[in-house]
Amino acid sequence: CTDNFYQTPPLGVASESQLLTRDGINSLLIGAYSLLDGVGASSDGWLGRNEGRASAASNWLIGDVASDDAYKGSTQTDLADANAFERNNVLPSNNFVPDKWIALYDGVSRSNDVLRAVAKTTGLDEATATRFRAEARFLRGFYMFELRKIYYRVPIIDETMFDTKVPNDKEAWPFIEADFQFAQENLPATQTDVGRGNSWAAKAFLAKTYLFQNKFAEARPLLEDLIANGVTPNGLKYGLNDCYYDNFQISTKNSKESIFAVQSSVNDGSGSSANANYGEHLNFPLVGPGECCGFFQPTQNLVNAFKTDANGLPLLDTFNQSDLKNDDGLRSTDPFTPDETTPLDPRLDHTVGRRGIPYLNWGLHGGDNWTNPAGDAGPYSPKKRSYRKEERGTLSTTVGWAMGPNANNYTVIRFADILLWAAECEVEVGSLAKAQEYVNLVRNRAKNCVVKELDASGNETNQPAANYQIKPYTVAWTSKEVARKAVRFERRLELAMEGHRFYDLVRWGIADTVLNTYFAAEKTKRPYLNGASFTKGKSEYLPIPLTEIVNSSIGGQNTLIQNPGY
Amino acid sequence: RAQLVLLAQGATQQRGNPSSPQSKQLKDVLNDLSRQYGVDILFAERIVDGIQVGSYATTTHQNIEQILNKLLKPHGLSYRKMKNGSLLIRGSRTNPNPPVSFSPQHPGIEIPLASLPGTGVIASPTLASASLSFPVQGRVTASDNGDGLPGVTITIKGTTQGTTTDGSGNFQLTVPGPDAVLVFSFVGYQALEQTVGNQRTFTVQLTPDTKSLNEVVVVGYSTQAKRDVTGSVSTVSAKDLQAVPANNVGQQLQGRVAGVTIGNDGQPGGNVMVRIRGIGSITGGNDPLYIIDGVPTQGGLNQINPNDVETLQVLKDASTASIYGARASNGVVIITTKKGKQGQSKITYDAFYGVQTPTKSPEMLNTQQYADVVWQNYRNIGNVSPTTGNPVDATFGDGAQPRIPDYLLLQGGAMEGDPRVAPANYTNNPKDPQYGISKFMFAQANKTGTDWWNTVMQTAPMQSHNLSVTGGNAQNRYAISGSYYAQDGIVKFTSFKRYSLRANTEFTIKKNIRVGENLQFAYTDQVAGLIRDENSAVLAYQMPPFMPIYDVGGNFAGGRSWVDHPYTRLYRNRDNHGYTSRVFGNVYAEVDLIKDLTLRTSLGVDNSNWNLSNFAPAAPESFLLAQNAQLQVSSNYNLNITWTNTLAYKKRLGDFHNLSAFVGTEAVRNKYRDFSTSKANFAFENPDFQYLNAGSTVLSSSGSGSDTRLFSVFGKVDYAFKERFLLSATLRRDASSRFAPTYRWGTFPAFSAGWRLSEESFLKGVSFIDDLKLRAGWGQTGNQEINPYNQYTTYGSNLNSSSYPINGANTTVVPGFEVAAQGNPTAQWEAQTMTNLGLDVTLFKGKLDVTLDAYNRQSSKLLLEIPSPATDGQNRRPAVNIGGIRNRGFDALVNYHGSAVNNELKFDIGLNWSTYRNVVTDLYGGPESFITGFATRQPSVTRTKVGHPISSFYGFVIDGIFQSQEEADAHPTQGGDRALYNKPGRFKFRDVNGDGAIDDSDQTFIGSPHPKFTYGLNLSAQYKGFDLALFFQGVSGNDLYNYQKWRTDFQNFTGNRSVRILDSWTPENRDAVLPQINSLAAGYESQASTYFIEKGSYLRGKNLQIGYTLPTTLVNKVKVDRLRVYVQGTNFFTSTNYSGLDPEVNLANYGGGADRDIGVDRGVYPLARTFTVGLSLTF
Repeated sequence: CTDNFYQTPPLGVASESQLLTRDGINSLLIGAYSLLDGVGASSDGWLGRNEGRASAASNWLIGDVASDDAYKGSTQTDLADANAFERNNVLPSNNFVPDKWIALYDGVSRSNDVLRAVAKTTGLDEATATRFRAEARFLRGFYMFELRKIYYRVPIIDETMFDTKVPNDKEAWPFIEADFQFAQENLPATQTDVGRGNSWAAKAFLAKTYLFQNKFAEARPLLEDLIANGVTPNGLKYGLNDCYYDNFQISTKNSKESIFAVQSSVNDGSGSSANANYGEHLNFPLVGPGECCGFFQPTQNLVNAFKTDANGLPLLDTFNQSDLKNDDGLRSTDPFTPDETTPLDPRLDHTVGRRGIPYLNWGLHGGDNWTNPAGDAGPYSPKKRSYRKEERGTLSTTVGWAMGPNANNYTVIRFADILLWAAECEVEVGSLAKAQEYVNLVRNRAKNCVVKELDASGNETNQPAANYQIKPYTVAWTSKEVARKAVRFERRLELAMEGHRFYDLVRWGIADTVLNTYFAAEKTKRPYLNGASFTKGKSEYLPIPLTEIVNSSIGGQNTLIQNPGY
Repeated sequence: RAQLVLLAQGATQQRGNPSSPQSKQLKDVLNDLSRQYGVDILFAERIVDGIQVGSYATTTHQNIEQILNKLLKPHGLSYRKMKNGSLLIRGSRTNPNPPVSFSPQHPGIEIPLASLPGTGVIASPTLASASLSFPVQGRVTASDNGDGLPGVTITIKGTTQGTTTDGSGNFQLTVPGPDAVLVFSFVGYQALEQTVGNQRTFTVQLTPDTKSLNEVVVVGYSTQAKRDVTGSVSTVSAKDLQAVPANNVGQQLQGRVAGVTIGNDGQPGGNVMVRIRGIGSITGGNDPLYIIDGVPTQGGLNQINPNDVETLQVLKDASTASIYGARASNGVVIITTKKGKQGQSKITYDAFYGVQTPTKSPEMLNTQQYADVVWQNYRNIGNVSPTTGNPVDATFGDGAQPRIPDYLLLQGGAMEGDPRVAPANYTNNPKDPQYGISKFMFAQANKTGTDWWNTVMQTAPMQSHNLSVTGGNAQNRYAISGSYYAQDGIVKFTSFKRYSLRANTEFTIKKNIRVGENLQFAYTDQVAGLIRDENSAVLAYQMPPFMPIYDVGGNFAGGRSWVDHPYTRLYRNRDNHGYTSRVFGNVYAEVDLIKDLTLRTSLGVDNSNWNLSNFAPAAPESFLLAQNAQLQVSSNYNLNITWTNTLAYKKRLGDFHNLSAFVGTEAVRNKYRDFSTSKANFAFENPDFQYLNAGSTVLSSSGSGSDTRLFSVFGKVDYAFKERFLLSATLRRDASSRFAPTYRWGTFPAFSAGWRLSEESFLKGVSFIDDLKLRAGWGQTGNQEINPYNQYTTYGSNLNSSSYPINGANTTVVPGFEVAAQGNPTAQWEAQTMTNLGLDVTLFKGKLDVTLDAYNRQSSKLLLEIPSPATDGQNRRPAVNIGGIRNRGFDALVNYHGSAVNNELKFDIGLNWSTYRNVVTDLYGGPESFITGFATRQPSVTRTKVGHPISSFYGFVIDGIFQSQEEADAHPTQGGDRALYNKPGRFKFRDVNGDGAIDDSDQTFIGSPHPKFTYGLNLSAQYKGFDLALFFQGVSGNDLYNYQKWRTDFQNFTGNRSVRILDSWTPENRDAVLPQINSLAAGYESQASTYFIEKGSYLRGKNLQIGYTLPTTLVNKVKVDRLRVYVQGTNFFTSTNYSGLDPEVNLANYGGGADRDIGVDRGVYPLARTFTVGLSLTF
């Protein structure tokens, strides 16, 4: 036999050389973007374990369930591995710990593949090559940022490494800053595709990176620039949507408020919901959208936080002293009327599904039937990632068993974020008045759209569904402490259930006090929280996945070290 | 098929009887002819002794029949062609041989005639003349076909008197009295003794002696007399195999061969895993190579009709297997199918019908017990109402005691009178706008409890019919068969059917040219249940007992655990047939180029096509299933072409040297393609509509392919000196497309030697030793079972994992690329070196055979897919040559052939026993690195690590249950949560590393799935027309990991629990097996631990068969040659302490990588107990 006999190249796949073209690199870049949603990373295990539940872009489990905003939901026996996140006591061997790590490092790896491909490709015009590099570094910065935020001691992987068994003994922030810096300098302000990162998004992430290091002085000018001059990739000047709810609607996604969003598509020929917000597939009420599975239930503590005083201002210190009226323990068939008198921030009913209040246009939330009659995690449903009734089957999935995934984006950074970060900077290194100005921008917008009551035939009326009261701060903040508290509280209300709360608490350094206070009160309502506690110096970060420490072994020596406290 | 067995070769010693140069001893001529024509020539020495013949012309192209006629006729001799193709020389029919007597120094030697020293024949009879003597007569026939046996020696025991049968098997003889014992003996048959008594006419059947040393074995591109084999080869007779009613010859092999471990999957059409001498590879695959009629295949035994198997050999050691080089490191199973033989045409019909019943059923809670456990748990975790102190539950109410509801809604219960469960409010349509508001889906609760196990299990029939026609003459030989096999599963709605046709023919077209073919077409039809965790059988005991099968609307009731219930799942799968059609076989030609030199060429084909149509109807009652009907059609195409050429040379040089050798080339090409398409939205759900055209929305479509090549050159030399010293050398070189050019070729040498001690003078005088041979062998083999494109880095596009709607579109996605595989261009063959020492002994005149083998099997350069750190991203590391694993073992086979009751009762006892010790000797990353098995709901519970056997169980050690708070306080913190885990009633985890905290570093090796030894015991007996076969098989000393307990013994998910949970810790029940019921602690306490480890030893009565062969005289009247009927029980008895469904979880067929996960009970499809009746008819 001649050598030809043995030349059998792989079938149905491409070799690297075939991809070293402009189109080829672009397709690798698309591949790098496609992991933003946290679904689709290479994973081991025959159960197809990584279904994005713990790696969803929104960080619902690791960023909100771990905080005082949300319960895991459903029952304690359902997806029991996730209970540990709610209790802030996650073992390195927990099945969900590796998921986010795997997804993010797969993203880092794909970004590096783009950088390697650009370096190997000849004949690419310099502008295109630079844009590719900048987009790849933007994405790598994003993935590394998430890694640093969630796992703390993370190995830094760049495009020069093939052997990635490197130690996690270096601080990753400078590397992340460098990536975002390069991206903001080299990305165009507008892009042909709305889903791509642009120079302004890179700047926003750079500011976020500074904030996570408490580098307020460095962040402040970037945020001011963003507020004054920022545009979206499709050229819209940054601004708040008139209607708060437009941030959570499919029909208004990629709005002027969307600084950077994870794009979702559904019924797109992929045969699955992997490109929809699949990591959220458990987080829908049992009736209405989704039909499954009652996870990610807002806490009573969160609901209480939306109570306002007579001036329409939040009850910064006293909000949790009494519970807003609720249907906990009632069957759907038992009569219940929601609270009609307590003044409430209207954002509550854009954030939380509760009995007797319209759930988008699906009718009134039915309580027990909608959450999980067998469940032990309270009477509320999540709302922000849902879809409207007329979108069912067109913009929501028709494939697989989980009927919730839909074409709604997860907006990683929205303009309200920028404003509130700017407010934080002003509190710390600037003017309290300016801070209040930013906060009031957000509060004033929240007034515009409130949930309306339904009439007997189920049509929307002009009547608000509850006693909504929200007003801007009019009295100047008297001290940094007061201002800080107000800004932080505003962040919670504005961005509740959007995956930020836990990391905000950690970067503010108050996670232990806030969460242990929360547990003390909440366990009387949710007995399964008995014994749960946040351990300072440990619970701030997830452990490095045990499998990764084990796999990092070189000659019997683990390259990776575990996080403090684990 | 060149035969080189020389039954006539006994006359190796010159007898000082010189003959003229022109003339030769007839005996020597016959020996020459035998060699030259590759035909066994059988004769009793005394018939030919002293006969001189003139030289015969070897140059004339005569066939052997013509030569023999010429040679024999002048001496009043003739020959007869036997059924196995051998030629029997006999005296003329018209000139019956006179009775003869044997020399006194060899009294009673019965077999084999030809091996008697020639001087033992005395030509002139000396008849004893005692006054009591009287004549007897009779006929000797062969038990296998009823033909008269000519040339059988009959002696009177203790005397030298005797005679032989004539051409029809008749004899007459004068015996000294009624006490005389007649000894019937004939080469190739088991000897038989019979006391004369008052009988004057004898009808005697002799049974072929398959265990005889004269057996021929196929050893790879050639055959060899078993007595000359110097490696380790095991043979299983077709009769033994076919005694087990199974669809797969692999299943039939279980327990038959020392050193071969078989794992069964109990489902109809279920596959098997065959492991020969331990486990030699970690990720490279451990399936043996199957050679069927010279054509290699790596599996798919389901499409091979087991009734077509004529012989099966297992090449266990490298010295025999290395002729197959690169693919032989896991041993080779050589199967030869039935061939036509010269002689009378014969029609055979074999059939059986059997009834399979499930054996063991799990003991689960009933509805009341289940509810009580739920209540107990609520109280233990403190989930009670602050006002009443009672638990509150959607299903079981809010009382002090759980209330069993009258009705079940999809979530929660309701009592009679609840408006939701008014019949008018029932709907089966979740899309009803009022669904969940005023319309509900509900069912009546089963208050006593649904026995889900018995709901899905059934007594199921199986049947097999096999019709074959064989026959031929000197020019043409044929064997044609057709078969039908059908088996329903003991799990409802599962089944397997196989239809197969075979035509094997051979034509002698010129004296020196033979052409032929072996070809089978098979078609199988399987409706499979799911296997692995969460299959239907397992769901059957995970389903809460209060669930009914149907709801009040007569539709399937909804799953409380949000899944469909097991009966629904099986029912909906009932029309999902997987069809496979397969053509397997070869055409070949053999040319005797010159004397002793044969050229053979064979073109083999193995072409299979598989198509599965999987329809999933809408499942309104389940949240976890699609609400739209979906159809997925999957198909694959696999073509394997093998072209083999060999040139074989056999030569006897003088009287001392026997040489045979061959060289060959082989080219293998495999082409593979698959695709899968799914569509949704089917207007109707009946089977006639379940085609892709009928669906309206394409969900997905995918496909892939591969093309691999292998080319080899090889050769082998066998040399024997005076039968005393046997030497064999093999060399094979393989080149594979799976490796980059630099590493493409692998060289696989082997050597072996045998020393027949029984031929040495110092043992010649030891009368009880018939044959004693020492064997030693060394050889190297390879393994290439890695991703065929391991050397290439590739990029793939995937609409799920590498595509993104970057333009913000809602319902389209922009395709992107990702790295599909990282290549390793430096990978090379896995190498394996095996040393084998063996001993073959035959004692007590063939009554006792013992074969012992010890081996050391060292694998190195294992192709490991090293676990990538996630930091590699999708750049998953390719297989690299790192790693070693060693198996040392011992195989023993003892067979006893006995008789009693005047030889009327004959029996055989066969015991095989084997043991291996497996240890990983080298892994990537040094001694601390390891490879895990598969994650289930638990992370992987096995580790493969240096110094431990492959797939060792790994987890925590449980030291009982805390009895008091003091005891719990004194113990290190468990799971970082003293409040939860350091409590009375909780499991006490051992602080293995003594660091004062119980964490993941306290996990350790807690068991091994490898048995201390395995064994099989065969008993068979024949008495008159009756025959009995009894077969036991067992393993001893292994551990099993009962993963099912994760679901049934802890509060994980809401399924049912085992009755074991009734023995949970309470302050009143301190001596409990399980900790206090507590769903909060369940996740932690149900981590991999010693709680799941159980002893896996078992002894299984695999087969009991009782047959009766109707008397020939009776069946002959209806023109039937032979009719045998039998009844049989399979898996009729099991002794084990394992608490799971079946201890045979080892090696269950989970597909690739299963060797890193053996011994983990993920929920097997249990084996059935089967009762069968059958018949075998020849006419």
